[in-house]
Amino acid sequence: MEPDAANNDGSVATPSKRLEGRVAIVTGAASGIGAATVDLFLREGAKVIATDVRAIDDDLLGTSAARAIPVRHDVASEREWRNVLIRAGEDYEGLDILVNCAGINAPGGGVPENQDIENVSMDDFRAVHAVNVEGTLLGCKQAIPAMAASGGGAIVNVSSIAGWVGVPGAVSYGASKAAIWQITKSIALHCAKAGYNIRCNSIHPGGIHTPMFVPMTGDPRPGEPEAPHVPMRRYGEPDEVAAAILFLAGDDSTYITGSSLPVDGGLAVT
Amino acid sequence: MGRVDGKVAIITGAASGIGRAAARLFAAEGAKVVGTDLQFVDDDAWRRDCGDEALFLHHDVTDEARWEAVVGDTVAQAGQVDILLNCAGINGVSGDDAPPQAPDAIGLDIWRRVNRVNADGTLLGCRTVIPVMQENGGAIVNISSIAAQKGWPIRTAYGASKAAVLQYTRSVARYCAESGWSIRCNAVLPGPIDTPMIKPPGRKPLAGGDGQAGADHVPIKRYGDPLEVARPMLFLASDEASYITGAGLNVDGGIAALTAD
Repeated sequence: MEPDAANNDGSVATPSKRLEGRVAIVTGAASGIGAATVDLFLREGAKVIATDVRAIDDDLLGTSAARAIPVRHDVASEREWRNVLIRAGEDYEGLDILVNCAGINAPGGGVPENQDIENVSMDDFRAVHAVNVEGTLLGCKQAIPAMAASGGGAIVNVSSIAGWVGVPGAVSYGASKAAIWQITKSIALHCAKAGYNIRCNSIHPGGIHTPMFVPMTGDPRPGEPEAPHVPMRRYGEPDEVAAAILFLAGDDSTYITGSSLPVDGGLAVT
Repeated sequence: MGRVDGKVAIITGAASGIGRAAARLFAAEGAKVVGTDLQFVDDDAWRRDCGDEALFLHHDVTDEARWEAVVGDTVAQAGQVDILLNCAGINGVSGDDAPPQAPDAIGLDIWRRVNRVNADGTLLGCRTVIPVMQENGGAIVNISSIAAQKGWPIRTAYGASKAAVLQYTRSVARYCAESGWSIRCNAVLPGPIDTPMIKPPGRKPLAGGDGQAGADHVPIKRYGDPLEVARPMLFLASDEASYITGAGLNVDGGIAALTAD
């Protein structure tokens, strides 16, 4: 990998479209961080394959000028991952970026109930890990050969602050996000050692205004901010996480691999 | 439109290395750059890199009064300070006659000198700009190091000073956010970067980090380019990182993945 020092013309300014022509797979694209990432990537010139186990609303797939290809996709299925890669290969040449956003905090989604250590069932634990951990692992496993064949690429895995701190009400979720953080490092080192020119990093959102998180927050107490325990006193927006994913997926981060980036309003340092 | 268009950025250590690359990049992205350094720069080269608008001020970052003057001059000329990059730093081992830093040999002189520049300099920078940034908000990016995360037997002072920078960054981040000011504070933790600190002109390269020569210990098998640190600093300083504060971001070619912290 050569340093991405100056541009070809000697300038250093960022190109107007930061992912021009690059092929990106984004999972969990039907809502939240995944949907915001698809939107941003399209605006930055990427060719996007947007996947989700749910149907993706048409208006999340961009404009006629820059439109994502939707694929129905259970990330826990290796066979379906193969289909996604085949589909990407049919529509576009090569693969440059994989963003593993798909995740659940409890079986079937919704507000986690009975997910503490005394009440969690092994079925629940396995269901969360199937999507979050196996989904991420399978995506990386399937994408790496395609990226290596196209000269390299960047993988961004969405972990969570919950991968670092104890999560008493959602023991499976915390464990699964810690696993994503850990496999990210192994993948980064593997790709470096193999000389693949593939970077792999994790992003660690705190509380973000997504359909997964908002139902868990409840109403703020009168006169109090919505997130009194967060230094910034607010939750984040999906597009604030998407901006960080873009950073790790693009050419601003060419010397960053195996790293973890919190996007949490300062929560991790409290 | 640049990613830090119209913002006023003070960048210490701007004569060379990462600071110089950041000055060039931030200027290209629309910032009004105020570069500072203990070393002087060639005027023509500075203007070629950073444009005619960029200022350069002579600045010892360990000097409290000089910090007041640098920030005061910046406000007088540009009206405000939006961004501070604390890039000035020394490792204390670059000279041929560098005193030892091994735990059984280090003297307080070298310990204090390294900590003064790296830790005191960063502290003074943050302390001086926070009052100026309170009204309009701002972003501070400090340079820590992978040396903050590991044992660093031959550069004990350096490692300790960079750990201080990382820890201080977290406190500044919390303090500003919890005070209700939209001032963010983050750190980058570079691995071995191709700068005069690691590759002094005319001398053989220093070990990239933990005492091993060359880049063999870096997973991606090369040194970083200074611009590859400047770009993450640009991201953290820009509004794209609006929900990121208190973060320590490794920029190290994969060494982070080998590091327990």
